[in-house]
Amino acid sequence: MNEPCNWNVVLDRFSGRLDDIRELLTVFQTQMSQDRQAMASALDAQDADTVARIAHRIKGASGNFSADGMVQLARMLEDAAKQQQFDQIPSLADQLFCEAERLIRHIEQCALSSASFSNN
Amino acid sequence: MTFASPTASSAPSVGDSIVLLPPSPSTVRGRILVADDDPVTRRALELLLTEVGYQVTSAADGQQAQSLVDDTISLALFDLQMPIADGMDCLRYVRQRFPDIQVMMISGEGEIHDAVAAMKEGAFEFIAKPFDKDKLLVNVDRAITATKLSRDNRNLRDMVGDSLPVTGFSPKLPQTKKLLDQVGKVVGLDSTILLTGESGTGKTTIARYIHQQGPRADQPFVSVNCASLPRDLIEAELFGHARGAFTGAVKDRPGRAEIADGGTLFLDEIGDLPLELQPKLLTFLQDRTLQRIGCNEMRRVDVRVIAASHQDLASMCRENRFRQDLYYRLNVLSLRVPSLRERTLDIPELAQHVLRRIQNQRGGSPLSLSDAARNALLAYNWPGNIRELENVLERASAFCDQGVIQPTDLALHTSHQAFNNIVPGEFAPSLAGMTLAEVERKALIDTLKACSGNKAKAAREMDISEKSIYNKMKRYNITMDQI
Repeated sequence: MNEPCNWNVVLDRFSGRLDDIRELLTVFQTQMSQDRQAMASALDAQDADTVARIAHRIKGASGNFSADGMVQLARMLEDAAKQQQFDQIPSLADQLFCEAERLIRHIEQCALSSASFSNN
Repeated sequence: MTFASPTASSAPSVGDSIVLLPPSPSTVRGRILVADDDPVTRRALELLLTEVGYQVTSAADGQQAQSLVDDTISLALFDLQMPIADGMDCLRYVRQRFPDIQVMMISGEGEIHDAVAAMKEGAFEFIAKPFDKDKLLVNVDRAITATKLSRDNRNLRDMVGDSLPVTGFSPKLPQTKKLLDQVGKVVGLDSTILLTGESGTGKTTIARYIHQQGPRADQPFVSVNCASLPRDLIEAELFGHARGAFTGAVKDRPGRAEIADGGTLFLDEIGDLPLELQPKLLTFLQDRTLQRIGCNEMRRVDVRVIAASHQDLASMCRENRFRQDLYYRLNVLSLRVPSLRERTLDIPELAQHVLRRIQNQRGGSPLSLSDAARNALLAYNWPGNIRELENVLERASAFCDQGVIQPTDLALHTSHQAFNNIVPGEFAPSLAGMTLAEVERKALIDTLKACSGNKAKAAREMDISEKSIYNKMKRYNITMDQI
């Protein structure tokens, strides 16, 4: 399975400042938590506009971590919502939030490894 | 449908010690306004830009962004898709009111077409998500340089080519001389000044002039409009906040009072400052110390304070809507800026000045007024004062033939028809005998009627915030049944 993000690109974007990356990850985590709830409500209400808007925002947010897989899933979800394809939307949303959790764990692990590498 | 809940993060705590800190450094590379409804992108931009020395102010939607734009901003970064007001709305707002400030658009995937449209409307550049850091920083640097050049250029034009030392005010204008004489006596003093006068009379211009002519001219002039900021944001905006002080406070942030350190803090529409915040401002005026929200440390700042209000603060004190002790503290030196109605002799030269400025901005053939148009300007009542005169002439200069403005081009009957019930062919029914409050109430009701009850549209028409519309409706007991 591919890695959920390109860690070297992330490190380069923030000039190797792990504290900044961790802080951004916290913001991301909080936002994903809110988006999860908002997405669930939107799906219950069959509100395609809200689904598309949330997916669009997640696409932008995950781009900050060079998370190509997540960007791709968010794009597919946004497109499906715009076309009101409710047979595909729940499954794509589920995959998207699973990928988000995988991304969070991966970045936490990478940050830990980079910190211990620089300490040694 | 439900998804598994993620791990929550804890907010940082704030210490208990009280320490008097020195003023924060005021030398930064420039102040950038970032507006994006995605908190991750917003924070990423904050981190990238602050790391290289910029000061960043953030907004989560377009309306908040517009309330935060002022002359201390060197660059605005707007996301194209935002709630309430989108990036294009914000771009137009800045181009119209702060033409020196460069704007860069943040575009997501599939929005390149919109980004190009934004460039056509005057955006400096657009940056696509996800950002290329180096490209972003190069463009930010170029845009801030462009803002600085534009401001320098305008200042030079004002110094060299403009016969009026302050836009709208000149000692050559007979009925303005008294005010400018008074202003000349207070520029060198450090006392707090209270500017009073109707909306649109040029109080902000006078405040800026006092700053520019005084000993603090090379330090910042920071303006806070107490009417345009949402009630729950004013304190944070004015005094700053500590990281973790409230939801969304992800880092320490200085308030405008601190940013103004060494310079002038201009508190516009001070009458709209919420009562609960007035004691804190009083403390600040007394000893020039402040406390950021969520922080026990006291900070000392050295600022000159100028406040302005179109409301009668003395009456507000009697009605317990404004603290008397704060009023006395503000009212050390009081200057009343006259309405345009009281300066009718100034109108012809003022109009010529405005037309020269429009012509300089647009280029093309010279603009002039026909005799009939000049008489129409003299006969009109100008409830919106200089601001209205500028708007009327800008519109007329767009519609006139061969650069000569006729009375029909002025369209004075539509300029403030809702305000004073002018019928076509008449120019100025008298409002004599009405109190300012009665005039304001009438203006609000008529404008709301003209806008079919749409408060956002009425706010735009009256050039005030939507929040002020709600506040004024409450104050004057106006209900939608009356509209």
